[in-house]
Amino acid sequence: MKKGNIVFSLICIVLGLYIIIVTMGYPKAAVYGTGVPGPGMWPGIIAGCLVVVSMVLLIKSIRMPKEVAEKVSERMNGSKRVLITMIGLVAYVALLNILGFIISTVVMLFAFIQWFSRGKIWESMLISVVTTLFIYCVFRFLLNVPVNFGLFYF
Amino acid sequence: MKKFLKRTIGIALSMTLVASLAACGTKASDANADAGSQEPAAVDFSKESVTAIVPYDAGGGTDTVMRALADAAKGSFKNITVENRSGAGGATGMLAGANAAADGKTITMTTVELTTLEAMGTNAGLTYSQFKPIMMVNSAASAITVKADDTRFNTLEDVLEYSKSNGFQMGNSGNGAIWHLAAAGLAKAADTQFTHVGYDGAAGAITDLLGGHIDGVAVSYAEVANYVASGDLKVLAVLSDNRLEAIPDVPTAKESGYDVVLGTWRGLAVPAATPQEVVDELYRIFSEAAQSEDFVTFMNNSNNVIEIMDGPSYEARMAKDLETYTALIEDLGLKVQ
Amino acid sequence: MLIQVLQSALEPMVLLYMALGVAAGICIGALPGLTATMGVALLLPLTFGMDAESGILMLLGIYVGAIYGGSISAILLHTPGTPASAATAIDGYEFSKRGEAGRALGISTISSYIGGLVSVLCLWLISPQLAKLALKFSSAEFFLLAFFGLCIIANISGKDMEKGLICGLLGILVATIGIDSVTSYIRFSHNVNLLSGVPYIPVMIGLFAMSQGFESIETIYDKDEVNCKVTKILPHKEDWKVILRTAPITGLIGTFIGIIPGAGADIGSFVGYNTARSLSKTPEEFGKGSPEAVAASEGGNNGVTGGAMIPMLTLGVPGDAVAAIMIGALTIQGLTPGPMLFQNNKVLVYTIFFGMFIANTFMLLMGLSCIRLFTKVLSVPKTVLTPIIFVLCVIGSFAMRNNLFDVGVMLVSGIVGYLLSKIKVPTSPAILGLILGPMAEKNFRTALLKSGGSVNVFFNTPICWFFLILIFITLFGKHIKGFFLSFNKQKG
Repeated sequence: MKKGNIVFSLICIVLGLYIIIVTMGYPKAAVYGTGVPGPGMWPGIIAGCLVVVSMVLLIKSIRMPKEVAEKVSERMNGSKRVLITMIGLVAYVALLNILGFIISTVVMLFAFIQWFSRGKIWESMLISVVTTLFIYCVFRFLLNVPVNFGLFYF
Repeated sequence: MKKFLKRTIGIALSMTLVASLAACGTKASDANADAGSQEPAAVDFSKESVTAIVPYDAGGGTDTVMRALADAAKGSFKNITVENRSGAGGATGMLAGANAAADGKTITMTTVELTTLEAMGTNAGLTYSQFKPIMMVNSAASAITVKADDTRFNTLEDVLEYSKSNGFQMGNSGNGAIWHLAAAGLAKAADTQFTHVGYDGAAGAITDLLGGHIDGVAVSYAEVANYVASGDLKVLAVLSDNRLEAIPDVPTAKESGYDVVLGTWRGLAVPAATPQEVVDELYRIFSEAAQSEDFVTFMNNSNNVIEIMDGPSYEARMAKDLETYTALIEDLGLKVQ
Repeated sequence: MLIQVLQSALEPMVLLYMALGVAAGICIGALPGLTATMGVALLLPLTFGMDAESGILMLLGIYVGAIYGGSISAILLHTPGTPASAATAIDGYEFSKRGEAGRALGISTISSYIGGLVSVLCLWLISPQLAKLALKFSSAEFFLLAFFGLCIIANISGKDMEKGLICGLLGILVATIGIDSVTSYIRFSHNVNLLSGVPYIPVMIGLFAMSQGFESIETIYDKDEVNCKVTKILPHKEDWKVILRTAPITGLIGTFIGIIPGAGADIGSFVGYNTARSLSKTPEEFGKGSPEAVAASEGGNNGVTGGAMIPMLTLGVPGDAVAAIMIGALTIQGLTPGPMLFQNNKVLVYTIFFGMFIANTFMLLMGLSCIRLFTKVLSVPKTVLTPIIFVLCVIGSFAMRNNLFDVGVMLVSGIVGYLLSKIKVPTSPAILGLILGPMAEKNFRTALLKSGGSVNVFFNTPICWFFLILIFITLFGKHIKGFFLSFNKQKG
């Protein structure tokens, strides 16, 4: 937690400073001549607040007592799983545009369900095909959402 | 296994609930789909599924007009689906339409933003020549509207005079949106200036006017018609070629000596590479639909003016508007770098 | 006229459509990633072939059902089914952890009903009067309202106030990407999909549903801690007292929030939650599974449903995103919302009022009788449900604008949301920032534009002062309370 907090607040401080610098370059109120603040004011102020609050968090986190190390192995396994899932989903979204909704979704669902539940293959297969077709039909035909992207148009 | 089955049934049950509901709704609209005409034509659309892209959200003005038109034309197609692709002030949807297959099966509802976005520089590569226009369907001119009980303004001249000395706060539907440009065009012609106040959509501007927070609005007559009828607002002038049928007593700006004709339009277009005979067939189908009783009634009820224009004249209108708006936006300093 | 209204509202077909609407609404609301707005927008085309009464009332049924349905997944999965239930998730999930999911669902059902009833009553009785008040709102008032909403962030983020604030500020900053609505200057990104701003529904789906999915992946092999078994649903005596004390008040607050254009059920539930906490005798219980919190948030969000209809029907100004779609639905029927509607279509207007009452009653009956059926969806094992939720997140974020870019936005938000939750940053403030930030900025600058740059515009009207006082109380209420308490002690 402590480490996470410090990293988070540092990122926010850098981000806030970056935004302030960017917005300084935006046209000023005078350019528009209407007495209205220019486009950079609001994000500038908000970024300023972000820097201030992040600094408070940073100082508070540094003062936090060191925490006892958690059981690492359990956590690590979980985090690794999440990372793989994330990569899988990014690949899935990228595939959507090429293979279309049905094929990529069946593959994605089958892979995940089989991986997680470690059940019978035909069972995972059945669930993924039925769910995919059901979702597809509801959105495509009932709700008229054009889920017809990809090479094969479905 | 038993548990697994039970769960599956659980999902299925709750999902069929949604399904059955939706099915009830579709029946009604499909009922008279087969009643369409079957005239032989070089291009036959009666067995085709056609998609109409609306570059704005469902339920908005453009969307409702497209849906009413699609409904009137559905007999000529196997089916016609209206798809909303909103974003970037309409650029997202129109770009999608311009880049669709050029087979006439993807029709886009093009709006005046096709020209204003390019003039503004926020078009993301969108330009009207990417399209081959089928027809213009409807148009609306800007109506200069103030509060009915505002004794300061009784004619367009009052507004313009007042704006020269006091600053007139003119509400519009958004910065750089068509009604902003229309008001600016009027000011330019009259050699004066308004304080333009932008809202998210015309409704916000009208409410603010009703509450007396601004001096006037420059939106379409359709958008203020209810309040004019109820006696809350009055229209001083319309920026059109001719007086509007619904308000024959209100003069045009032209009559007062300001040659400004500015307003919005909506029409249908297909990608530029579409064969001419396909466009012709679509023109036939939709111009018939646009004259059908249902569509005319809908348009009258919603205070929309039907203005049918064929492809070439529609294209000419786009070219002219692009020129006008580019000049106006330059003057206003709204061009995006 | 009364007979006409009863006739058209109680017609079997109308009742059937309404019941189906409510059922579909509850399912849509319960599924994470499908919001009330999306449900109504997606089912709108189905009403084109119906007559006005059936169409509008079915949509209202979906709306009412979805706002309530969101609480089911909020309580059972810690994932608000709709953003309106984000506040419910905080406390509702604690019940599930304790194995009292049924109790929380019962409280939420009854409170939703009461909130809905209160709002229908307001809609019925005082809509013309309140519409007049809404007309007095201009940019300065809207700014203060949005600012007031943003101040709530500090209050809802509990002991991690800094983190909540940071998250809210990040939300506001994300919302500034794209074309500046006052000067048309393009800020931060020239990507065409971001020109009109970051689409907030995909962000919301990502932050809430997707990141929750990642979290359950982390513990996918653990035994489910949550007892999804829903036992007794009807609340017991103590809970009734709490509900009857809280829900009518937050329902009224929700109604008021609903009337205000732009502020929807999500804000209604947060304001309700917050108010209930400041009025509560046991504010420290909030966030730890307090029945009062669930009642407050659910009363608040269902209160919005009727409130949002008030400006829509009387002025043609949508009270929230759903009401905006309703305007479309009315227009398609050849009816233009506004003062004229009350003159020309009085029967229809009162049918809508009465129909909303019936829709709420359907919601109550279905909530109490079929809740087990609805929760069946959620009793699917995590190993199967989580991948399905991923698919729903993807298609849900796509469906709003039919744009694959939005799916990417959702995925990024999901990953960011997961990382944030790892270091215990509350994510709901980001949504408030995302929605209220642009509203605050735009109205702040528009107010200055109208006043010619003078700040006095923010202190001119009674409504301004009303909000200024509210803001003051929100920010410094605790200190004032503390001051008076110590003062009394000294005296005693």
